[in-house]
Amino acid sequence: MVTRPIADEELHAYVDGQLDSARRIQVDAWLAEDGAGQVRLEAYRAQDEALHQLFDSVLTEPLPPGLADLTEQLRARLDDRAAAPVPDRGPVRRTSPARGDVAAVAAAMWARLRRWDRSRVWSLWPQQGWVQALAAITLLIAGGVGGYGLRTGAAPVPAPAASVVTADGQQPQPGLKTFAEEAVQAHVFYTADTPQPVEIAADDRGELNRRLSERLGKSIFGPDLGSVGYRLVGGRSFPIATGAGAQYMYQNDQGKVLTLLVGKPKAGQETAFRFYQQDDRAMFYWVEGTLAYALVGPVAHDDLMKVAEAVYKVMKDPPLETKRPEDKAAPQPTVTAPPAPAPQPSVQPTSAQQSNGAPRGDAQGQPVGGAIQPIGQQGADMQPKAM
Amino acid sequence: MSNLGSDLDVQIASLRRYSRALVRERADADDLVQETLARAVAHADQFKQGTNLRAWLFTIMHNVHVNQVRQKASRPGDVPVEDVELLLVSPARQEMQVELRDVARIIDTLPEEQRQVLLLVTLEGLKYDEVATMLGVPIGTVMSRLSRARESIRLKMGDQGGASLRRVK
Repeated sequence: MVTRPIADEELHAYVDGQLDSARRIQVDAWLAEDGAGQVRLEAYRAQDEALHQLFDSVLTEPLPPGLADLTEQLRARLDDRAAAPVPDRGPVRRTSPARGDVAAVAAAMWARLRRWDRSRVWSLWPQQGWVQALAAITLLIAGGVGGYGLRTGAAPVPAPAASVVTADGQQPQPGLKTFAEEAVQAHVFYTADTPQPVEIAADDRGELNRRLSERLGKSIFGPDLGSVGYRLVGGRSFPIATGAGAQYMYQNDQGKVLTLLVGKPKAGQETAFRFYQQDDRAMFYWVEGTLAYALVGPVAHDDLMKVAEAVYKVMKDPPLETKRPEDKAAPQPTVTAPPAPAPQPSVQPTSAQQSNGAPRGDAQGQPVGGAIQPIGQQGADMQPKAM
Repeated sequence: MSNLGSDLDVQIASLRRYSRALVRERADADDLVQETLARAVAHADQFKQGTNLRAWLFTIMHNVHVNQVRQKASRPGDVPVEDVELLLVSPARQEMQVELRDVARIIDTLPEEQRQVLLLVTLEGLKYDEVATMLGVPIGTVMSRLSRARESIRLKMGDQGGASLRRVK
């Protein structure tokens, strides 16, 4: 099955999500048969987690005054440059009244969030990630009202099938759209007329979450989206560019199907938010902590954002059952939606801190290959070279 | 890069994390970030809009670090364990703290060049080619340093590394 031996460097590239998809599948196959390789893989992943445990708290330490000043100086310098006309990016950077309003709102919001951050309301990075996701969601909603959301589709992005646009309408950097693209491909593939749209049904959510968490090596759960009319149908896992991906599938009473892909973000994508619209399909991508999420569905921009907000609320304040992955059965997660509207996280400092203790899962899961999977021509990030 | 301003904040938070993991001592680590930002402000006109802000900032930081190390002769291994304990994300189980401290100690014993690569790839999620460009070495060197670093930690953690570290989640 394995065409050539797995080089040491390739196992590392596999761990780091920097192996091309064809080779990754071969490594999956090799790992399934090689106990020693599996042991090393798990040890490396554990190291990775340990490093984050050790140092992630630095991310939310308040900036000392000297650093804060320099940050603002640098921001001003970079903004000056951004404001200067850049001929070859003109169409993308074109400003308009709507865009200006949105940018101003976002800037003001961000300034407020930064202050909260400094007051340590947000004491762990994942929450800050949500703050950013939320800012982006709000930005997109605001933009949609002003017609800005529609305009993003017209940005001259030389993408073959569709345009991926960042929250502020910029063209993404090359190679930054793989997770989003994979999410859309997987959505199309598994929501098409297939006999088995999900691999694990949602009848037993505990089992569904447990199995997908195991394959991802992280504790994840399918959020209950009943508040926006979608029920969880089930899920499946399949290999994506960064290892294993878990896809949750939802359906509403009108038969519309949404999918939520969860996986490790690609290097370089950890802080990005992307909104993507192609024909009648919309996708929103964001990152929280060490995981990337992409929500895809045949719905309009505003509707998708409502669902994204619902996902946000459940994820931020997860049902109790999902906080303890070692618990055997996780019955119907109950959503205790925070009372406040999304853009006012300051009223929920307690819940933000409580969820700091959310476990990150037991990383004994190995990425699972073998499933039919729609990923075709993923570009190789790199071809490992021998020394 | 971003009108949200979030990108810069995120990158600076990452710089601080990497700096802390690399030099450990809080004041020294923030000095490194401070010097990096000062240089970034001074050379902001060299940053090309639309290019990788993170790679640009990390490259500056690397250069500053090399200079600082050269100037004041680094003190590898001179790390108060208490500092590490303060960094723990949450006051979780005792055994977990002990294991994390072991990992921290072992990382400190790694050669600087291996430690840099390990931290840049695993902690900061940089791609191998980004690290290679940043450090000015071939990509194969990056990968072999990473490989050696991870194997060292794994072997030094011994049996407990396989079994107990897995629970550090």
